[in-house]
Amino acid sequence: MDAASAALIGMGLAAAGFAGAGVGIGYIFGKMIEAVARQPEAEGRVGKYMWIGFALVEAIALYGIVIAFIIMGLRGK
Amino acid sequence: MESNPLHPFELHPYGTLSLFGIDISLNKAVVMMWVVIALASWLLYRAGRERRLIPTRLQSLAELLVEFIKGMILDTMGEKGLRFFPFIATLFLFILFCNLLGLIPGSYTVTSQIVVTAAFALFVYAMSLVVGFALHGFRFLGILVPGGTPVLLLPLMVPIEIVSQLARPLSLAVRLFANMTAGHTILAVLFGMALSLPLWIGWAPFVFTIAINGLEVMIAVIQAYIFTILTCVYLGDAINLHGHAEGAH
Amino acid sequence: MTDEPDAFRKGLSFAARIGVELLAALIVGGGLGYVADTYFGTTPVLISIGLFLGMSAGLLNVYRTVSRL
Repeated sequence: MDAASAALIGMGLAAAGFAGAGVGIGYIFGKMIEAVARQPEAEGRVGKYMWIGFALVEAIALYGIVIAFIIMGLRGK
Repeated sequence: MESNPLHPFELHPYGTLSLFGIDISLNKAVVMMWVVIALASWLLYRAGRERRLIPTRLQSLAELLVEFIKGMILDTMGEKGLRFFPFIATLFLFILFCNLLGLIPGSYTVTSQIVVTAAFALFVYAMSLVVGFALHGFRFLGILVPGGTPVLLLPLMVPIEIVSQLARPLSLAVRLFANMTAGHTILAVLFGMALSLPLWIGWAPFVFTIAINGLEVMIAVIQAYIFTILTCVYLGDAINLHGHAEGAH
Repeated sequence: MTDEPDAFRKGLSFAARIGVELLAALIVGGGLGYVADTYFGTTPVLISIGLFLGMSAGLLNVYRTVSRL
């Protein structure tokens, strides 16, 4: 397998790592809905933490995108 | 159609200017930043010019914004954080307007350059370090030791905490940059597909771009909010060492 | 109504002062780093250290100005 196709497979594998981020985001929003369903007054306080948690989980997925872009940039060399 | 999906992000200079041998030529990103500054400051100036008791619509929008940011600061930083209110408000408004104005066709998203977001993140992190050292002196280094660890674990915990502290500005920069770049790249790829396919099937990616555009508006606002609230959390960590924010409502 | 433009100008001058302090400290730090770089002939390492120190000094100045509000 030559270097060009190996680079493309590497980019696809980096993108496949987003599955974990999808699970994480679904989990955190599911827990938020459950918490608000149990106690609707907690929505203000828990909502703030939900957005911070969502940002941190999504950042991991975006590290994957950055690695894919790095592999794409180094492809010609 | 484009072989390089990152084609919309290329910047071409309009002529060349140089100052002491450094290249400061204008390009689309610089002009967009000027537009953002002019628009944001003009809107807020108009909103705050006459302070009526029953506010006009623009004034009530500005009041909503001020209350929102003030609540965010009081939640995370406590009363001592209110002296950072102008900084946090400027940061929030600049990133919000940059993200939103990038969605207009023909304009450029300033925050989709890693240089811009890295400059913001480095500035915010340096500010948290400076404020921490100015307020607490060398005891600020105690932030590297979470409360209640036994002394034997210290040589293991301190390097881990140093790495996690250094990951903060990096993740702050990369999060905003990658969100904006990924959104616009998806739009570019989908439009390319919609144009290169024949009409009887090309309408499907086009409808999808409408939905993704709506998602992009939501992501623009959310990313500005997330950047700002993480800034408040990091500054709050530096101001109250391991303590809880006082004055939280 | 005569109070309002005065307060606006005071706020604007305060904001302009903070901005200029930050920019000036950054430029001085970067300039010192650049001069030291050309003197010692090392790689751009000294420019970046100078820029970082300049930014920190500017932020410290701004913090002291703001604390006295």
